[in-house]
Amino acid sequence: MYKSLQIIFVSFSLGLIAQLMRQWPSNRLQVIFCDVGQGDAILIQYGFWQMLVDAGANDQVLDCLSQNMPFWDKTLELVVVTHTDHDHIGGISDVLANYQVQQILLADTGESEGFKKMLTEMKSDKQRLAVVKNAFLGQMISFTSGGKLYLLGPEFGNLSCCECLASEFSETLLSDAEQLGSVTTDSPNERSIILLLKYYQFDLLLMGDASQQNELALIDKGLIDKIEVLKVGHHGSKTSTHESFVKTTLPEKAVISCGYNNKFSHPSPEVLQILLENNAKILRTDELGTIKLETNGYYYWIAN
Amino acid sequence: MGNRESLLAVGLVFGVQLDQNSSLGHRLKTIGMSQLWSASGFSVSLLTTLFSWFLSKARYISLLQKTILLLLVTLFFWLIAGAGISLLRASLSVGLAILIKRYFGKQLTSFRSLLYVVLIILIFFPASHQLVSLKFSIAAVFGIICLHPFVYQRLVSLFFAGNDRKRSFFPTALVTLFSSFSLFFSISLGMLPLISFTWGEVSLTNLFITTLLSCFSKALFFLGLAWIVWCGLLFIMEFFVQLPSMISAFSLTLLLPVQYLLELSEHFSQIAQFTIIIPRFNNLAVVIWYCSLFLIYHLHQSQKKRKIYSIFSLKTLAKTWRF
Repeated sequence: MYKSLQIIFVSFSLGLIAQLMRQWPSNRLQVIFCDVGQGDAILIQYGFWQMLVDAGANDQVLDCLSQNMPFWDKTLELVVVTHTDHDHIGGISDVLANYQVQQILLADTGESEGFKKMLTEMKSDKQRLAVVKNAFLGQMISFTSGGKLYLLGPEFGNLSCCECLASEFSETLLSDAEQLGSVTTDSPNERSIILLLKYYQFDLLLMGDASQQNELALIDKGLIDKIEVLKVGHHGSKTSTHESFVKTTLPEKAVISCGYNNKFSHPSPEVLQILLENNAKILRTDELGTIKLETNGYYYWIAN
Repeated sequence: MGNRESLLAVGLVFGVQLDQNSSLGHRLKTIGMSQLWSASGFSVSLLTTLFSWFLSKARYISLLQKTILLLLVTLFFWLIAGAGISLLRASLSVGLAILIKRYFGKQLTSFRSLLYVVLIILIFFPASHQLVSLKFSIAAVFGIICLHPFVYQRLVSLFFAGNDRKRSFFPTALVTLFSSFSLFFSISLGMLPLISFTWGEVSLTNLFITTLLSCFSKALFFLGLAWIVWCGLLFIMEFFVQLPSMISAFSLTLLLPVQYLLELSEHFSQIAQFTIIIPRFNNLAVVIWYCSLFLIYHLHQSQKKRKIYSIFSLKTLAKTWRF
């Protein structure tokens, strides 16, 4: 009996040590493009600070989070919802049900099922301290001395409150109260949040589902320059990734988050052609699965 | 605390209805791992065994009270686990075995137990004969009873002849694996006619995965039980003291095996599915099939020189059915 207990205890302890060693956060910046099928979910972590950009279409994002975050850490410091399309917001309710979120960055409200589920989850006890922030051009979030996150779009946020508790935000939207947000004719894709992550000399541009119009606007405003890695907009659709945008940013690596054999035939051959002509190495989640980039701020490499 | 992992840990004991629309539910069902999260006769028997052990320590409780408590636990478990018809079959089997053992001093054979339970279910729930889950449950148990001892003995004797069956770690692990394999192989053969009607194919990959995982199913059941007890303790403690955050981290450590299982499921989902197409059984084929299984059962019993089964005849068949 005692021998069996000893074996169980030793095996459990060894497993625990192995898991601790495997999941202990490094002091480098990690960017994980989760394979969530046709959708986007990007986990960015630096030490114990974690940020999730979008959550894919379903609960697949949870597998990615549990594999890449320490098992004892169930807190996401920041969640960015680039826009309210199902392939970006579908898994958010599962994330909110399983992780405590400190800040949620939103630029728009929506009518989709995923958005309603997210609002319901925001009212839960777990998210009582979560804060919803209106996202717009010019904001900056600093997560370490050398690491900053710049918001390059949309031009203005469409939320009725600038910063409020998630439960209050959810109650306002779930009630029939008239919304005070600005009226816009842009499509949700065009109002997608665009993020530029800078970590010392490493630049990563996350385009969400932004269109070519948004890309040209970024060039006109002089907001972008040469970058290292580009998360290609709209899963490689031909509505995004303008040639002059690629020529301006000259990414060394272009990550396309799309599902295997997806019904939209993403990525489009035209986009792939443009990227290849500009010497960008294409990394696709439908071919490689989850893609993990790691950087010390001067060099970066694919970790898996 | 992770809701998903916590729910799955509880599900290791009581079963959990996996959402087919969620990617996890779909994945677990596709690779055959969902059976780990379904309450079955195995869970009922483990729970009653554990509870019997506890009750055996309490000498101040009378036999009648112990029996009633044990039956109540079985009933309670059945209700919590969703009160399904297949679990009712398992709970009735266990309940019947307890009653007969306690009050008649007889050990009910598995075969008789199955017959009585089917009879009781058909008398009290006559409409249940149309339920597919009940048919699958009965067919699986029939397969286990008829084939499992036979297949298992053949496998073991094939690999460990005579004195080679030492109780060192490696053979023990292999014997467990063989036992698990013969169990699921027998279940598959028992359900084959139903499988031919429902899916038309058997996945060898799933058979391999379920065999491998069922070696740990007992440990996983107790892990789930430990998790439930731990959560219950925390729930009570929260009324009296403010729990430190370290407790939450420790709780998540307890959920690590569940996390491993989920990771494992992702690896298993990458394995190619090898399937065997099963031709559709007609009525005659179904009768021949189950008669053959019954014949194997009798031959095996007669080989073991059990008197009652020594001659395969209508008389011994009647004896088998006798109370």
